[in-house]
Amino acid sequence: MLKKLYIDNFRCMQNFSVTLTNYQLWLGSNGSGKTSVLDVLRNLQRVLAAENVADIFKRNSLTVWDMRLVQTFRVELEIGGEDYEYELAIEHMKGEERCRIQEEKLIWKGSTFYHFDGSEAHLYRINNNSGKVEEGTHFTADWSRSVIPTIAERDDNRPLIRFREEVRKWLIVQPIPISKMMTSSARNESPDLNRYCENFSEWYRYILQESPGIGYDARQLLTPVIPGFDELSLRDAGDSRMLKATLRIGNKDYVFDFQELSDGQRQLILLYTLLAALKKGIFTTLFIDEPNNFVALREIQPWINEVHDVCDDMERQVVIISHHPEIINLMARGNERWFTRKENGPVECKDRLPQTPGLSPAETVARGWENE
Amino acid sequence: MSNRASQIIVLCEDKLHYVFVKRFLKKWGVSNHAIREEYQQGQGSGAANVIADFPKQLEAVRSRSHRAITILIVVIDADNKTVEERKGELEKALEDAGMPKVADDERICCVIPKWSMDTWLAYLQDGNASEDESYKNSLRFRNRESEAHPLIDMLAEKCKQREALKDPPDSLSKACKEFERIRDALVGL
Repeated sequence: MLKKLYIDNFRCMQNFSVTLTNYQLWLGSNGSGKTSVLDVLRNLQRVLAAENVADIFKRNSLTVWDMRLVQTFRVELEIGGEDYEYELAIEHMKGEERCRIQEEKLIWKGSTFYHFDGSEAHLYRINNNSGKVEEGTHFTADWSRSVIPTIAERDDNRPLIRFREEVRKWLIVQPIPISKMMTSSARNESPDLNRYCENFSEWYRYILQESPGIGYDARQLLTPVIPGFDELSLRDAGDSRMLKATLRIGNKDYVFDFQELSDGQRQLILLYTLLAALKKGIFTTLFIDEPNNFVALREIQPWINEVHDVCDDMERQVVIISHHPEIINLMARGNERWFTRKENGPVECKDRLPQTPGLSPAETVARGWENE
Repeated sequence: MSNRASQIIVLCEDKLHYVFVKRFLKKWGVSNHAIREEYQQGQGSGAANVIADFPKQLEAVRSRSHRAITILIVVIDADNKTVEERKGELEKALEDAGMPKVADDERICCVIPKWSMDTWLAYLQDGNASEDESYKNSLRFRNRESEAHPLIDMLAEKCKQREALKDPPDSLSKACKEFERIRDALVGL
């Protein structure tokens, strides 16, 4: 579980931090930095997938009013009851569209377990006899990519591997279920669901391979949600496969292209499939921006309640960004994080949305009274 | 096709109340789709809000109950009053609204823990709890509601099996009796 995130000198975030719980709402005005925080998490995932940092951290991501050229990111996680801390400093070259890793560090249970100091990578290991952390090998390393994704798994470097795998299991999405984007075609299997979920069909094909029972689980969840919903299936279509939904109308089953469904139906299928995948552990942490898009009012509370149940029962983590009053009223009850900025200055994250006696949290937001 | 409409409306003061009811009903096989929480409006007296909202919710439930099973569960802390006094306040709200009292055969269940829900959770956890003192300030389960799940599960299981509780707080005994008003309807959902 992600417990804390620190960001400095990235877009509107200077010395910014947010503490997280396993089930949390992020809310705030447009432009208050919520989505930018998700971009940071996505960027860290890319760093830990061995992408070149120059492709990830563009110069225009530096805070415009800050003259410093170094961006700092730090995450604190709890994995299997053990504390991890990962820190990354990115240095941009003066006057150039280039950057490098200035420092990268992984701390496990208070002990450094990996350190890149800008030129050398220092690996650490667990001494099998003493159980203590000790320094292992060190070598000159490329400053444009993290070494962490390239390290082979061994008995004595388990914390590093677990950290790497945990970060891979963050799913960060902002679903837009319109038919032009979210198509039926599943030509390939995709282990990664894109930011806007436009490759849902290919991702579904992948998760079905990974966990065949997931189709059944999603079906169970969707049956009470979409009238007549029977199943989601992948069917051959030439050299590709197409995602189809079977709906019962009267006493007969009809098969529709996933693309032929309404935007709201596609969004519901996505939301409940995400839930089924979260339950199965295909991913363990979900960050989802505006899940309520296109969803009927009737369907929001049941989905939120299902999410809450999964978080509580299965030690999963879900962070929801939303402006929807139904979600705000359900989730702004003490664990929410409120993003706020004064006059386009740095983002602040506060532990609670200010409340107004007699008003629901959403009504306070609708009136703009939380900013007073 | 399953019934897609909410069949159980939960009118309660706070998140702990709702978690309690939702978890309890889950043990009875009630899905999230069947429940709708009528959440309270902002800060202030949760109890006063529930009392003020009760006639409106009851009217809505009554208007639907002739065509489909509809249950209203009201959860309100007794605080420093007795269970009977709190129930009397709910009845007075109906009277003031010109509405008839709750009839014996209506599927309306008023759950009123003495002081707060924390009293029952303390009992379920420790095997005893006094209603002479409030456990609300122990904050054991506030913002950690999921930690109460095993206790609620245990209560729900005993309730399902009709197993008697050992020396329960008086308000919990009364709530168990109140639950009988909706027991059969839950099975039929």
